[in-house]
Parts: sequence; structure tokens; C-alpha cells
Amino acid sequence: MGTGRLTGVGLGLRWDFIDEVLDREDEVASTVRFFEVSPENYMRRGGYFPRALEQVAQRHAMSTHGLMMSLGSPDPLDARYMAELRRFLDRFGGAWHSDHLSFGGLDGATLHDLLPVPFTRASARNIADRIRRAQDMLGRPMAVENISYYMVVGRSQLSEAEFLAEVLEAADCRLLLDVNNLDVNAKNHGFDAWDWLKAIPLDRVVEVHVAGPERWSDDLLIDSHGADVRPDVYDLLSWVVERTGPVPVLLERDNNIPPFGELLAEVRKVDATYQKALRRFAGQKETSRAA
Amino acid sequence: MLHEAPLRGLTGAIRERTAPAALDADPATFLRRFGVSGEDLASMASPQGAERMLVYRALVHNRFRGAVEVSLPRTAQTLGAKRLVEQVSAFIDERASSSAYLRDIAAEFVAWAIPLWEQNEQIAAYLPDLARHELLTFELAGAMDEPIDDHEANVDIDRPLVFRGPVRLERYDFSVHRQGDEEPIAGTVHVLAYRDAEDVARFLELSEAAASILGHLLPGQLPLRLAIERGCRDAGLAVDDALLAGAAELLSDLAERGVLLGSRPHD
Repeated sequence: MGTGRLTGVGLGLRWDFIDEVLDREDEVASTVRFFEVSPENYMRRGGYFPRALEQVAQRHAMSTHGLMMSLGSPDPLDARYMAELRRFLDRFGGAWHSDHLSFGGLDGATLHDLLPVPFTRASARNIADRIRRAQDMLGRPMAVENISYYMVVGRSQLSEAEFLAEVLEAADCRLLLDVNNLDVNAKNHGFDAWDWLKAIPLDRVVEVHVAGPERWSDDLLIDSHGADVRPDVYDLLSWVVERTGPVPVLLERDNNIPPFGELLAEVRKVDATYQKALRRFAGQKETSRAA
Repeated sequence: MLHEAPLRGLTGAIRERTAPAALDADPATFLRRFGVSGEDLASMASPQGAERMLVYRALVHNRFRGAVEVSLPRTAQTLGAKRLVEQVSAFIDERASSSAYLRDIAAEFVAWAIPLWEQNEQIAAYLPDLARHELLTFELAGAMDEPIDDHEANVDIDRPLVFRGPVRLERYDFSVHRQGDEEPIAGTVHVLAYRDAEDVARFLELSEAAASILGHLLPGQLPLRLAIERGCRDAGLAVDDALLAGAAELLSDLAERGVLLGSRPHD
């Protein structure tokens, strides 16, 4: 399948249901517009899953979303990882590759998590430099995703939204806007998600992620991708798509994965919100053209 | 220049074995050790800051432990939940991962843990072999496909043989390759490990002579005749009719399993 311009609602591809993606081809093709893969699960690997991925890629549009670039780290980019990633993207990649505004370790020790970065100008410059280098090494544009953060690391010079805008501007890169992460952060840290959305450059949004968090404690939600999408996240998705138009939207589910039929039903539910928002987007364009 | 101290403070809270107690007692003292100071310190050493660093610690430790449990379920069960928690925690403190791939954590953990297990009389003596075997099973299922050398579909005693990789030859001191609830039995075991057409790791128990002959054949350099002679010499056995019949039976079995493809063509 082509990996050109993506649109519609896609699903994060997981090994738990990759067989059903292949077995229920008609139902999947009529529901899921694209699949998003984490390259690290397939890179430098043989056997069943890379072969299954080849079959999925022949039938469906794909996007790639990495976990391990550690853009916020002071360590140099891992040259071997980047070379392996480029080989993977040359085969399966689309118009851009995305990773997270986070760091994953220090001094060569990897912690395999999306750890928060300080909201400072120096941190923004460091990340922007690394994004530019990564784009050169990968030979394609990058999009970066706003993460869920459970604490602010050190003193902030900027709000998260200002920090994000500064990174995007300095790196001249795209934004993968995760509205679930926004909702989790707004609830955990007590800020207004709508104000946040108004402060970021929506024109840089190339993809939107939705998912559902789980409660860790009375005052903390964790972005586990382990629950259904919450109503507030649907509202944020709707508001964003009404303004961005038909950017691709991805449903992520990594934990407590329901039966595949239920997952497809949730994709359809996200799509219903998406289509309504697109109609409002088209109506606004008509109105502004008429004016 | 990027101010690294806050990042060092957070990773210290995640990695250091004593971090929970130290953060509980005095977060500021703990964080100062990593160079965190001034307003950074005020932000991170608050009660909520300390609590949230421990949330990240729990998330990272859970992920590492989960990676070990998925790849090495019998090893994890044999170690027991409490010891697994302690050892993964110690591993993160002393080593953590050096790979971008989550699936590599199990191998990194085993490489770190085996010397400790071998010195600890409370740990089952078969655990290192069990971990190596589970790691082999996991590694084989995801090993890169190996290029297949040119071959002819017959077995010629005067030519090297060609095998479909990945294939590994392992020697254990316990019967860890046998499934079931019973404890592995002490005694040298030779195992040929390969991946079948459905990409499932399979194991074939071998005699010492068979393992020795295959040890000479698998690199693909020695002709079959020489491999048999050297394998028998290494195993202290004579090359007689019974041994040759056994070798023929083994090769036939490997061909049926799709592991042996044939002989290398004449140059």
C-alpha cells in the first residue's frame, strides 16, 4: 500500500491482534484507514512478526511512531539505532516519522520509559538541535509528540505549551498532538486544556493520538493506553479536527486490550466524532469563502 | 547549555536502590547529590515531587520486570516474586539497559544475574541453564533470517552440508529443555535448537557423538566424512557401522524437520 498522505482514523498495530488484522481483512479494511507501528518492535528482528508486518503493509497504509530516540537526553543520538531505524523507514515509513518530547536515559543507560524534560529554553534548544540532526540522519521530516508528564522536572521557564511551541519553531518540525496526554496533564496538573490548545501552533499538527488512561491514585492519572477513550478526549479531538481538517487520527491501546471486535467498534466511535468535526471544518471553510 | 542536574536527579531516583528510603527521609539531600540546586531543588524536593519521582521509579521497574517475566517465565517463577523484584531493582541500579530494544532487557538481566546466582547456594543450581534456555527460545523465535547457501538436495559424504538457520547447538548441565512441572535433572544434555516453518523454536536432544559431529558440521566448512571422524574423536568413539547408521538417521531426521537442506555443490 502507499504510504503517502494519511487521513481518517487508524489503529496502533500490536502483536496481540496482528493475526486478526490479517484474518478479518474486509472488516478491518472498511474500518481502519491506516496502522501505526513502533519500529523498535520489528527492527533487527526476524521470524513471525516481521513477516506478518510485511503482509499488513501490503494491505494497509502505515505510519511509524518511535519510542526510543530520547530527544530530551544530553547523550548523543544512538548512531546504530538511527541507522537501523532509517532502514526500517525506507521500507515501511511514510511522509514523516514521529517520536516523543521526552528522554529515556542518561550516560548510555536506557530506562525504557518516556521521562519528562525540563520546560526551559536550554532544553528546548537541545531538543530542537537533536530533531534537526535526526531528520538529517533519517532523511525525512519528523513530528514530535507531547507526552504525559507526572511531575515538572526542575524549575520551569516556560509553560508546557510555550515550550512545545518553541521546540517546534526552532526545529521547524511537525506536531503529533496527543489529546489524551493533554487531558491527562490538564487533570494531573490542574490547567485548562482549551487554553493550552489555543497556545500551540495548530498549523504544525500532522496527526492526532487518542487513548484512555488509568487511575494510579486519587490525584494521578497514568497514560497507560489501558482504557477506552474518555468523553473529554473526544471533545478535544473534535475541537482540534474542526480546526486542522482531515489530519490522521490514531487510536492507541496497549493494555487491557479488549476483544478485537470491540477495538474496531471504538475505532468507529472515534471516526464518528472525526466525521462530525470534519463537516464543521468544511462548513467553516464554506462560510469563510462566502465571506 | 542544557542543565543536566534535574535529569540526573530523576534518573537517580529511578535507579538507585536506596532512593525510596532516601527520598522519604530527605528529598533535598538526595537530590543535591546529583547537583540539583536552587529553584530546581525547591521544585523537585517538594513532597509531591518526591512522590512523583517514585511513580516514575515504579513504572520503570515494572516495565523491566515485565520484560523479564515475558521472556523468561519459568526462570521468573523459579526465582520467586520477591527475589525477582529485588534482583531487577539491583540490576537497574548497577547496570540498567544499554539497548534501544525492550526485548534485550532479558538477555542483559541474565548476563548480569548468572554470576550472582552461581555464588548463591539458595538459588537452584539449574537456574542459569534454565535462563539460558529460555533466552535461547526467545532469541530463536525473533532471530534474523539467515541467508541460505547454495545447495543440492542430497547428502554427499565428501562435501559440507547446508542447514537452514537460525540453528544453535547448546550444552546444559541440567535437563532444562524438558517442559513440565518437575525440576530439571542434573546431567549433561546436548540440544539442537532451531526454528520451524511456523517460526516456532524447537529442540532436539542429541547424544554426545551427535552433538560433536554437528558441532563440526554447522559452520559449513568441513565435509561430512571429516566432521564424523573429528566428532567421534572428540567424543572418544570409534567410527563403526552402528555409529554411521546413527549419523544417517540423525541427518534424515534433520532433513525431515527442514533443518538440513542438502550438500554444498561442487566448486
